[in-house]
Amino acid sequence: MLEHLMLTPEIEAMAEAAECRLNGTTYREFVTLTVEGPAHRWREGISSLLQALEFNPTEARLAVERRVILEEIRLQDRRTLESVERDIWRSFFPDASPWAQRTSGEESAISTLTVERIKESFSHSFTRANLVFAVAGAVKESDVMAVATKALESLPAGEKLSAAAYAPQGRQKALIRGNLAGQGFAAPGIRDMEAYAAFAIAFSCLTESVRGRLKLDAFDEWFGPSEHGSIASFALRFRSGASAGDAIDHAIRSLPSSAGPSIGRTRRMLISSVEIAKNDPRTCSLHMGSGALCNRPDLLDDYARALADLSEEAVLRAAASIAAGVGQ
Amino acid sequence: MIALILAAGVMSPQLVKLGNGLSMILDSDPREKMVTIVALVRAHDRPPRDLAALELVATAMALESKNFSKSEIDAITTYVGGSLRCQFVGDSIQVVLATAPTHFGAAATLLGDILQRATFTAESLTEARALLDAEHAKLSEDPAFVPLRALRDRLDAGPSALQPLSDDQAAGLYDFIVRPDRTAIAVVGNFDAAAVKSRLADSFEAWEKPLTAVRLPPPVAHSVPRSPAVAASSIVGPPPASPDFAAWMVACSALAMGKGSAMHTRLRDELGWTYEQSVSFTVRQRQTHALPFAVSHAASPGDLESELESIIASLPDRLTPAATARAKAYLSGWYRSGPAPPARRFAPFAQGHSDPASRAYWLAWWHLAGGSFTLDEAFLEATSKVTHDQVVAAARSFRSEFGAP
Repeated sequence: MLEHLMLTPEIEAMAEAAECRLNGTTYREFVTLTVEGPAHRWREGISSLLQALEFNPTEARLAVERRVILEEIRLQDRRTLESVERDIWRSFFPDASPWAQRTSGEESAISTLTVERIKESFSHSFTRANLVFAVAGAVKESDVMAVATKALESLPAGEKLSAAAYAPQGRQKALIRGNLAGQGFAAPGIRDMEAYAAFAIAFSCLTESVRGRLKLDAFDEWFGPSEHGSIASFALRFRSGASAGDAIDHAIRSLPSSAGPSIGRTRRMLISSVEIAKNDPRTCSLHMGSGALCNRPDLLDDYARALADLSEEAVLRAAASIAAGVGQ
Repeated sequence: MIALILAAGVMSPQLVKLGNGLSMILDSDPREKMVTIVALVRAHDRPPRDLAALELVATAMALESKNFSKSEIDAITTYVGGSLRCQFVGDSIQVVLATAPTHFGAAATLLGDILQRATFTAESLTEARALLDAEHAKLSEDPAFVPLRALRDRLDAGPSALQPLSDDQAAGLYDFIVRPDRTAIAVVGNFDAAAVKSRLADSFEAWEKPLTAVRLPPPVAHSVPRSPAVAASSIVGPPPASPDFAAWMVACSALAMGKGSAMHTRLRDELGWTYEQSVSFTVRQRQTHALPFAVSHAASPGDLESELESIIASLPDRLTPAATARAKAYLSGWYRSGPAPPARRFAPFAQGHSDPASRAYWLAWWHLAGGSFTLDEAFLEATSKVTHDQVVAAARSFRSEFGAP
């Protein structure tokens, strides 16, 4: 709701008049507000984004956004793989934990939200200690900061919020629902980048193996990097008649022996995906921002380096660790 | 025979036309690491029955050919270090192939086989059907997908529902539609233009096909779900090469593109009815269709449709110079830097120029839909010159047609 209320129609109109587009996304641990557009309109685009920090929600706007978010939830519920993934991720946390909730909020919570509560949340989190301002593209840092500094310095200092509580419980979760299947894994946090990168390669080898074993109509995978403990998951829709659960279990159990030949190719693919991310201003700024929030400001470079330097033994150890979690 | 035509005053991109009518547009950029090839085959003159069959043919085209089995096609794609996608979207068959510059020759060989020598068997058509059914099931998670397909079908501007197709029918339609004079190939990325020109000429110069009629099964009606409420309308506009096209597009932007548009302001910001509304475009041979649509669980179908109708009808009176300026800016910003669409479903005005595949797509698309790839750049200039009065006049000309079945 905070994200919805920060991007008012007036601010969005200001961005669009400058050929830019504003958007917000709420993740489990942070909210991102992004503006993107042609480089020559950067000044107006960034000014519109900073305007969102002058937060002053109204009851009327809250009433409208309640309805809009409920619509958003109903649309989310139609996306079957996303629903499987959401249920898998929830299962890593106790029901009462905020990490087990939808990022858009549960219906009951949305209908009881007040303007005061939202303002409190804004004051609590939108502070200099907790806000990262990341810009990527054909702009100069000094020019950007000349525009942004005043708005950013007007925020209260605040205290750094900790994501330490975000630690998934259990090693592995599985779900089968009709012809849908999902699998989630607790993964190392990005604090231990070597272990995280080894897990990432092993996990990619696993998804490749699963896709090779089943006739699939749809497949999606997600990786949620976090400072202290990450979650990786995949969800798939298989064609009727297939014994998906057994095939997935077999792929996991045999990962330590099957991963070897795939490690080199998977490593190159992941390094290449980092290169692609660095060349896409939107993805790059998102990684810079989320990395800085997790005390890893050079996230992409650190990740690429760890991927390149890892020994095959480290990846096989990660594969063995994934296999050891079956049924736990 | 190769005729080389340079765009006036610009060294790049270059248009190369082969004697068989095939157009190739080469846009070399040494800053890129890869080479992206987009081949578009024009089908915007065909009826819904043909378009439905083409959805299947396009999907099956990349599964096997005279020279390569499916696993060999997969192996070549991996070998060139890139990716391959073949599909029918909007108004054309699209083959999108990325390759490392060093492996362009192998990529050109593969593309040559897909466009000239695809083969169709009961097995490949069954596999293509399964792939398409799965893709449509995924796309149907968006409630507007099926109603918009049904509306396009009714307007003679999009595919009917998928129909069974024999291997002979698929091969016949492939020969009838996938022809050099209907095709434009755009290449964007890091390459030597002379070498690429010569390599493509080697692959495509001998491409000739006899024009033979094909008999297809009758069209199949779409089955449209009743919930949630989806309102969709069609507004007919000029074709892309028309001098009125830019003003008409700005009017569409004022109506339905971006968060400052009339539809977003009314349906989301004032009523809170919908999280999902936009406009989808389909370009036919002589006209363009804009399909504004909205989805809501909160409003009844009747209320949603009458509200959308009222927004369209009142647009000329609501348009202020500031609203026109926003609409122009949004359209040009989206055109310059809008993201590629999900699952690479390239379609006109559903994406900007944010990556090489999108840039290649637009070059080929303008060449086929507008008659010249130079309209890609010219569209931005035309948009910037559109006046408020022209946009109001375009909005007054909107004659919307409602009634998704």
